[in-house]
Formats: sequence, C-alpha cells, structure tokens
Amino acid sequence: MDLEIELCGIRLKNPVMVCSGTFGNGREFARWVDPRLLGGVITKAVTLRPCGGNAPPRLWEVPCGLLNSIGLENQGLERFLEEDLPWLSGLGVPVWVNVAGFDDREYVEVAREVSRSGMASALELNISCPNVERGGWSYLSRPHEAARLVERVRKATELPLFVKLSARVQDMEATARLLEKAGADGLSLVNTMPAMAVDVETGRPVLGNVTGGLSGPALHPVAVLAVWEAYRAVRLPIIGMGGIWSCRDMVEFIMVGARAVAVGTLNFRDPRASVRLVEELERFMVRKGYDSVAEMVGLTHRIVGLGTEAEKEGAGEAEWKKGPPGR
Amino acid sequence: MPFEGTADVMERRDYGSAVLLRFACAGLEEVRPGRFLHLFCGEERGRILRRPFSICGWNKAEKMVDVLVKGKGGGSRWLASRRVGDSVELMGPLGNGFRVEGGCTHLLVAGGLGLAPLRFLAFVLLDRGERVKLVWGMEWEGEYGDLPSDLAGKMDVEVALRRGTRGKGNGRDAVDLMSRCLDEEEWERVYVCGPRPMLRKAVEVLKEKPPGTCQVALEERMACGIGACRGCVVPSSKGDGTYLTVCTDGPVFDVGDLNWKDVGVGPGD
Repeated sequence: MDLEIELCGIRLKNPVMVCSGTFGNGREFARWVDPRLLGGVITKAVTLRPCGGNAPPRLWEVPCGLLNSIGLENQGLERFLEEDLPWLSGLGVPVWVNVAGFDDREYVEVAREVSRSGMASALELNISCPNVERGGWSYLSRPHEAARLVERVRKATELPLFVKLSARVQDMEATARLLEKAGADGLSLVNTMPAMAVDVETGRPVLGNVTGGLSGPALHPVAVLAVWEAYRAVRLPIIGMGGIWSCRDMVEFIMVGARAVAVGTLNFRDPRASVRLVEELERFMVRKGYDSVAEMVGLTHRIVGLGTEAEKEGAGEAEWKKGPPGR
Repeated sequence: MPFEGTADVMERRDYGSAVLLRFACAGLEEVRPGRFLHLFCGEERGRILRRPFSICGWNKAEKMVDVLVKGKGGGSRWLASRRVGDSVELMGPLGNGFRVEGGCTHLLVAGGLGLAPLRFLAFVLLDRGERVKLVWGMEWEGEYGDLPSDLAGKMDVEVALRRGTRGKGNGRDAVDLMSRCLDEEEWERVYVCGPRPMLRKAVEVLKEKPPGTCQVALEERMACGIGACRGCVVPSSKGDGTYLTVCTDGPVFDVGDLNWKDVGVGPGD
C-alpha cells in the first residue's frame, strides 16, 4: 500500500497538500510541521507588484466557518522569487504557485516569470478570489473572460496549469469544459465562497472590506458537490479543497473525483493538522484495504453510475473501473 | 519552541466579573510579559478558531501560567466557566512581548482587562527591584473583585472608576491618571494596554507629554496566531500601505510604529 498519487506527471508522495493563504510560504509553519512530509504546498497568492491587502478587520468567525478578507497581501513577484520560492523549492516538496493579478497582463507576467525560475512544479490560477475588486466584475461571472485568460497564461508557461474556482459559478460543468478547452491542465475546487456578516450593535459590516470569503467546515459539502460536478464534465485532475476537518473529509473529496486534496482553515486550529491527516489517511486505507489512492479516485461516480449487476457483468470489471458511462 | 497541547486548570480565582485561571504547563518556554496563549474555547455554536489571551502571570519554578478572562462572547464565556481539573487546548507563548530595561521608572497604564499583560510585567519589574506604578481604569467598583487590593498590597497602584457605584465614580479613566502622573513625575518607560478607544486617547496625551519610550499592547481577532495568514494586522506608520501582525510583529508595539489614525475598531470595542 502506498499513498503516492500522480497529477500532470508530478509525483506526490501522498495526496495531502495545503491551501493557498493558509500556510504562508512555509516558514512560519515549518516550526510546527515538516513540509517535506506533505504531498505538496500551494503558496500564498503572488501578484506582480507588492500588494498591501485590505483594511482590517480581516477575520470573522461564523458557526463552523471563517470569513476572511485578507485581500491578496503579498510582497510581490520579485521578493517571492528571491526569498520565498527558493526556500520552498529547496525543501524538495512539490510547489504549486498561486498566481493572482488585477488584469490579464499581470497574470501572464507572473506566470511567465515563475515558470522561468524553474522552481515551481505547477501553477494555480487564482481567478476566484472574492476579496478583490476588478472593475466590478469577476472572472467567475464571465466564464468566457476566464477562458480567454487561461488561453493567454497557457501561452506563457509550460508548467501544469491548475485553475482555482469557487462554487459560485453559474454552471460548474460548462465552466470546467470551457477551461479545459482553453488549455487548463487541472482544477482546484474550491476557493472561498463570497460571504459577509454585520455587527447588529452598530449596523456596520464586521469586515473592513465589507465582503469576504467563507472557509471551513460550513463550506465542505458545497466543495464536495463542486468536485463531483467537475469530475463528470472533464478528465482534468482535480485538487479538492474546502473545509477539510478530518480524514473522512479528504476521502470524501477523493471518492467524488479529486486526485489530491488541500487542507486550509484547519491549519489555524491545529498547526500540525496537515501532517496528522497524512497519517490518518494511511490508517484509513489500511483499515479499508485500499492499496492505492488511485483506487478511490471517483469511486462514488462508479458506484452511482453502475446500472444493475447484470450491466456490470456485461461491461466487465475493467470497463467498470474506468469510470461512469457517458464520460 | 512554542508549545501546543493540553493543559489542566489547577486554580481558579474569581475576581468580580473576571476570573483568573491558572494552568499547569511544563512545556512552556520563553514565557515573557506581553506574550499570549492561543486557546481553543470549545466547539459549542460551531466555534472553530482559537482565541488569544495575554499571559497575566507565570510561576517558572512550578510551570504555572495565568490568564485573566471575562465572559463576553461565546468563547470567553466557555473559558471563564472552566473549573479546576478541566483541560484546555493551549498553544504558546506567542507574540513578541514587552522590551524590558532595568534602571528606569516604569508607568503601567491599564484599561479594563488590559491589565492582564501589565500584571505580569509589573511582577517581573518588581522582582528586579524597579520603580513601578500601575494606573488602572475600570467602570465599576467591584468589577474586578479583590484584584485591585491584591495588587495594591504588592505595588504602587491607583484605580480610576469611570462610573463607580453610589457616587464613587469620578468619570476618570486610566488615561486621565496617566496624564496626571506624567505631569507629576519623570516616567522613563510607559506601557499601555486596553481597548482601542482608550489607546487612541492615550496616544493623543503621549504626543503632548512624550516619555522616554512608550510601548502599547494590542489585541485583535486571530486565525493562525503565528504570522502566516495576515488576518490580525494593524496599519504601520511607515506610510506605504503596509501592515503589521498583532500576533507576531506584536502584540507589543512602540507607539510610533503604528498609524493610529487608521487603527480601527478592535474586538469587543
């Protein structure tokens, strides 16, 4: 039995990664866990120029969740390439660099320079951050703009290109197909869900930015559905993320189609959570008799897609294991 | 290396509307005034994040650490209701802590529960034979039970009651006391901790009467507590739109490090 899984030719020692923005760029958490024990690390969003982020307050806890409006605070591409990326890539763990921008041109330039550095394993295109104004619209509400951006970034990089979406897309299956056609190599599902809260004593929004993104356990069932839908539509590898709070949440993502998963908000509750979950996954697989993670990927689709036993018999075990009919 | 694990409540002292909880925690290192513990306060009502609490006392020999809690929100109410023998998930110490120098006069200015880190600081300074005065502003007499008189037995303490009872309130707060103390005597080191409105008022007074140095301890809602998520920030005075984290760059700042005009609403304000 082993926990290895492959995504776009990148071999991960296990499917457990950490979400962008929830693990810094590794150094703060390295005091608590060894990042080399993870399948991969997704960096904090990098923008072309330094970005100060949103005015505080930036955090608000809600039942089973967290609202954040950090606002892509980061020191910009130059500092990232000089300091953060070399440290992370020096660890030897696969690194997905999360790329953000305020217009298409910025995304393309960051993607190009990060690729040129040779220190990244893959890119995660952040087109779904709820915290940033962009002329009033977001790529998610205009899938064709998103696809056009992916086409542009595609030309700037040879690296595997994952696109991170939130569940707030009009039509997940259509969007996934559009992005696959545009050249995406994978999907990260999901980003935080746009949300807000108000202090009723004052009538004021609790967040300085008024709106923010919801993460944590409350988001998890929404994220599971997003992965389920995307897996039906495209053959792109999916990294499942959103409210992982335990081993069963990770396995759930894998069974609805994710090849890897990423732990986010849970890192704030327990800085050792990510590595602890790798151990828990191993125990789960031993208990259930799974020899590989790949066996579990999309299992629920196959179970649901099965017709009668006779149909299964007719198709043969090998055919059945390939995937649900009609894909 | 900060500790993360569980700690048992060994002692509980009710001080009016506040409670001092004492935890046994052998794994704590670098316990210094101004640093905090990041505590998980129960899962009721779907709470998922830890809450930061200043360390208000530390017995190094016995490895006992104190926090001072008032039950305001769900989390602090859960913590304030812990009994001796209960276990709490604890992470820390985190944060920078006060810069402590000897051979000076030290004025400690506490607003309400802002007393917490200053109590620890006072004990450390007194241990070193330093000249210490604590001014503490609160709303009501009895709000903190015997804690004011407990402290008065050990150091020079002056209390201001904003509202008081039966006319004992004098409408004054800790900043008023601080202002008068700065007029009366040369205070080389000033330390302030309290709610944001109180800090902003103190900053105005300190502009007119600057002491040698002034350190301010802030609080803010936190997620990671270790400087990674950038959630707990306050605006830096550098003027370039950059922010500082209360959990790691702070909670203690030199008063000149922050852009007070833009330091907004804090938790519980």
